[in-house]
Amino acid sequence: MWIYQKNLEYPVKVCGPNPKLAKVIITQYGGPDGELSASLRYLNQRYSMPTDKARGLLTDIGTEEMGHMEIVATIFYKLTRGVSPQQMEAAGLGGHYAQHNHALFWNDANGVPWVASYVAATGDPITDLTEDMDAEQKARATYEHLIQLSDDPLITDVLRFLREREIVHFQRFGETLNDVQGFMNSKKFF
Amino acid sequence: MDKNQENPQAQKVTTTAYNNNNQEDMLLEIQQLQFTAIELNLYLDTHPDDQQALMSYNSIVPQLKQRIASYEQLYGPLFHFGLSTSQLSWQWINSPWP
Amino acid sequence: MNYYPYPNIPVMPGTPLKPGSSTQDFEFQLAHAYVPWQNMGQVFSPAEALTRGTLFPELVMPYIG
Repeated sequence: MWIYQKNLEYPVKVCGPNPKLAKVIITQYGGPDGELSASLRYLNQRYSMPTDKARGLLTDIGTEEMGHMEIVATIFYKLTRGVSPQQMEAAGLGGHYAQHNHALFWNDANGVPWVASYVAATGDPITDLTEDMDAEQKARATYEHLIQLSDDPLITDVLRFLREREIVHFQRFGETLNDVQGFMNSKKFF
Repeated sequence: MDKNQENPQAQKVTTTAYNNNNQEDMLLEIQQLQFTAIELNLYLDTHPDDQQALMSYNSIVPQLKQRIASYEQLYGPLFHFGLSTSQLSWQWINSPWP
Repeated sequence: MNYYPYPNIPVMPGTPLKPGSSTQDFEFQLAHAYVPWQNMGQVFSPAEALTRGTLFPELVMPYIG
């Protein structure tokens, strides 16, 4: 069960419409290392985790990632609000406009739609936790690229928040990997 | 209700200053406390016996609940599905939505 | 509360190692990944935590791009 809370985890403000920036930021909505991938990856992998601690952590980080998807959605929405079809086209969002108008869609910065194969679930907890750490690093790197591309200081501020979350999540997944490796070893020895 | 209610001019000139009646400012306080809870929550997931973290988490909970109750009194429910009540009409559907 | 003998030793607090061994006997295994355990110390205020994206000063690693 999930309960919705009617506010963002981090407030989103924009300096003004900016479809060019929206076009690249959408990758953190529906790209391979985006927040949809992250939330679904963790919430799906928790069933095959061997410890309650790992299940708890994946539930909590997966839930936070859904909040991050909401933040990225809000960014895209605010950056494209009131933007004309011509301006969308000029920013490289002509294809997006043709298919979705001003609606959101899960695709990457090049318009490639989200696919489930962005997410792995091997059922091996060491492998899956290592993938989670890898996913956090890829998301961190992507946020750094987006910070480089951002010409809106208010959006850069949000991107910095989201990037720092990847670092904290990496630490927690790493601690969980330590823990799960210890658990698997103890099963071998006893 | 503080001085800003009596003096509407004050509200206009102090948009960046702290204003307890402002919807965004009240929400920001909730966001700050809740973020602290999120951080402690994730830390406790991997350090479940850390008494300092546990005490900090437990001390945030009533503060957060109190801020949410005050916010909801003025601006309507933050939660659906039976976790918040609604006064007069069904305020859940009202703006602001994220 | 500390469970581990030294900060940053990747021993799971409370996880049994081999019988009779202590956490000091922990050995890193080849072909395994480890992350140092975080030990919570001083933390940021709620307002500063949200601004920085973490409650923990030791996890602040800003991007200098």
